[in-house]
Amino acid sequence: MIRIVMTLCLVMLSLSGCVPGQQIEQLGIITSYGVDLLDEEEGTLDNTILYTQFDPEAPQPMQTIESTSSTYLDAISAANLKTSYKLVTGHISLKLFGKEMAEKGIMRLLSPHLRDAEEPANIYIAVGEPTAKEILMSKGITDVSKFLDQLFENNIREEILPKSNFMDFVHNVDDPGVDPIQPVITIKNDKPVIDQIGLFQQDQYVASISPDETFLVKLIIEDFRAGKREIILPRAPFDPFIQNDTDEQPKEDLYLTLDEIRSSADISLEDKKQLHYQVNVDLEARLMESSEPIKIDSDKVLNLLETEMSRKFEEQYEQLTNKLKELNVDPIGFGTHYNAETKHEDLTDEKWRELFPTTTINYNVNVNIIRHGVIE
Amino acid sequence: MIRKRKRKQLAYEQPKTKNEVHFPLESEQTKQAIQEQLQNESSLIFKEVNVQDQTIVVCYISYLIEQTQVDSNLLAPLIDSKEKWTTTRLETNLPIGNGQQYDTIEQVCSQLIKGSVVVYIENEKSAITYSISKNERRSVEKPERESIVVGPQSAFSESLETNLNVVRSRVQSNELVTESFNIGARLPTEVRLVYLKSLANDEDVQTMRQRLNNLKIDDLEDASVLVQYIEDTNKTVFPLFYLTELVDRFSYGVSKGKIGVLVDGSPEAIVAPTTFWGFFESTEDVYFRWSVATFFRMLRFAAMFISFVLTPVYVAVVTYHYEVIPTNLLVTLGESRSQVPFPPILEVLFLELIIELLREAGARLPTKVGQTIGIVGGIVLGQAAVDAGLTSSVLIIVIAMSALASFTAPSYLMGSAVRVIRYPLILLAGLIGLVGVTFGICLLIIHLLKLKSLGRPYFLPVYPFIFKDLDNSLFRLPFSISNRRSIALNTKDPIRYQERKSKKPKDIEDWGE
Repeated sequence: MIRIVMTLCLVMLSLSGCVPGQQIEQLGIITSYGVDLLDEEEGTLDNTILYTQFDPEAPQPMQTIESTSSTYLDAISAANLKTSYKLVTGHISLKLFGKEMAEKGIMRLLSPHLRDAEEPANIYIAVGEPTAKEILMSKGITDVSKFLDQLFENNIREEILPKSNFMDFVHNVDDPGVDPIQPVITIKNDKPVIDQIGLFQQDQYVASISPDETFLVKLIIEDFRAGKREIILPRAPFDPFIQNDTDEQPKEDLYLTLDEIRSSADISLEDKKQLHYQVNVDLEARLMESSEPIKIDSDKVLNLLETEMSRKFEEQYEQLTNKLKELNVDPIGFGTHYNAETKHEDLTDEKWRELFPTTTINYNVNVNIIRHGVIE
Repeated sequence: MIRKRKRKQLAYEQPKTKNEVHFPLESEQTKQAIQEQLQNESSLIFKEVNVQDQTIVVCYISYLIEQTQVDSNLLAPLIDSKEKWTTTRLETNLPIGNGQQYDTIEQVCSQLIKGSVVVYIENEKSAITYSISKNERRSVEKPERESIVVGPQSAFSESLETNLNVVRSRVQSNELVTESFNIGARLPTEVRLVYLKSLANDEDVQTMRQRLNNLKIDDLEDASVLVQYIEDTNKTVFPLFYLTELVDRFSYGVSKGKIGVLVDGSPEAIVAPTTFWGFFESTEDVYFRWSVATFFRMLRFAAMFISFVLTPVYVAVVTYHYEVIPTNLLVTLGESRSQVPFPPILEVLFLELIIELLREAGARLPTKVGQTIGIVGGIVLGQAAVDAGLTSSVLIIVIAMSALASFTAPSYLMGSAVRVIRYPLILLAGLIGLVGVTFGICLLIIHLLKLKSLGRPYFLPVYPFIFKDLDNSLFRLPFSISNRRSIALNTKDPIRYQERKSKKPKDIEDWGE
């Protein structure tokens, strides 16, 4: 018994040297990492690091530090020379890439997260326009890391942004026949805002689409459970149903807001040779707001609304597809469906880049308004 | 090793019996023999009564005796008698019960010191003793160590007779057995083994009986000491038998088929066998509604877990695993830590020491002073420690919470055990972080699984797992469903009452039927 206890104590004492102590007050905890391309030919990076330090004298726990390096881990080491705290990466929540940097490909700076278990995997990946440094150093906000973290979290929860964290990004890069989409952040009134959604070819930034177009993409790649959406319809077909119109000037458009959107979509490859796709989108929603007082007293009006909306969505889809084909990016993942249907030929990304512009895609959107408010 | 064992055997040997003095004796001889035997006790009173040409010796120790009873019920009829006294007439014609005959001075003396009066007719073969003892004892009072809100409020006192009295009045059954044992060679103490004959498991009773019989010790101070002698193992910090001062807790245990032990002179009684979970059961759980009781019991389990895990986790996280801390908490925690000059483990040990000192001081001091110490310690010391930069303010909350949680255990012994096992865990956390905490908890669980109480697994019914028994230990169900006694106890009658009969309460409409 005594021997066992002694052995245990000995093992404990000798093992205790093996664990590197990281006392919280001696750490500079990195929360965001931004990177811009400094020299294109040599591949040197201009790093901006936001970290939290616990100095009772300092007025602000959030600090910024800059360094120059060629790799991510070296960037941390280089930055370590400029602070009295030990910089650690275990709490990093955002990696922001300058637009120029993103166009060159960002996977090489993300690989430590795949190799090292201590590097967190639930981080957000975003593109900073024009540079990451400007956004991380923006004056309007004291804690940029926290602000951006909550910005992403809220918008993803509200189903405005598609899922865009590190795991989704890597998944989309590695899968043949699908490309990632990540938010693009710009500065407006000294504050960082999400302006556009970036389209990627593999890990290289290509172009961006508007939030409206993102909604269309998201409608296919993710099912909505409680989304919100404004839709613009021409006013003309509804003229007979609009009552007591007090407005003098007749307007051309009718603005409607859909709430509690539930959707489901399926993609089917109709013709493997001709690459003809059929996309069916079912969308259920409540009609919550309309710019004109439409009197919905019969199924006729409701059906008219639904068909007009469907037609509008289908039109928008046509435009979006043309744009995507032109850019030759496939965030919706038509390639994965092709890959699934044709088992014996291994689809590569290069091959899909050749095939994607030749596809024809037919959209069928079915809108169903289940409620339109309690007011009679 | 061998030498040790020999010494032990020597210590346990009974003191040798001296040459005994037998009756019949002259009155003067009797007096001398008794005085010699009782080391010239100065309160020993001898009274020689001459009735019908006989010399009758009446002898007692004045402070142990109810004087009025001796005068009116013994001396008066003795003197007034018109006939000659014989030993058998003494036994039958005096208005006092419990007269007993003894042949030797030694036996008589052992009765004398228990509060008996000796009556001896000169030159007879035996003397008679009557027990007319005057016991100075506490009355049945409210419980102090295990206070409860709902339910009977009587606690055991130091007198075995009073204790047996209150137990009998709560368990009114002629099946209640109270076996008597005398433990202690030099200073014998009466111990009673209490159980319900028709319910208690025979093996358990036999085990307990054997342990009491095999106990060869010099003297016995208290029930808590007896527990330490007869427990299954002493290589643990956890209590294996339940020590309680509550009469209803004791009688509840006995009525469920457990075995109780009462010790003379001890205000606490032993209930066995007990499981680990039993130490978190309060008798209130039975008196409350089942849903409320279940909530409170769960709360106590959670409190126990918090009590020994919270501070080690704090140490581990702050020293090694900053990644675990939520981002919003990071700044608060880091800033309060940055004021403190010590590593987290010293900080925690320092504050734990303060809390333990407060507790110990509060327990020793009189109630009024103790309260002041509690308040001063809690508010002033804590605040001052933070201001002086000795501890972080977050840690104050952590320590206070774990200290509070340890006091929720209904058994004071279990609460103390939980407080003690926290320290090795804190050290492990300080040495190798959360790995150490996990390692420590694993060791703890293995240890608990191996423990036994009166030969039955300590961790029942979780290990070995008995599904039907969970409602008797981990939570409570309505009485209409929970109608079984604990299967683990292996009682003679496992079912308390038939299930469905009592289910639907009679309504007004049912009266006519």
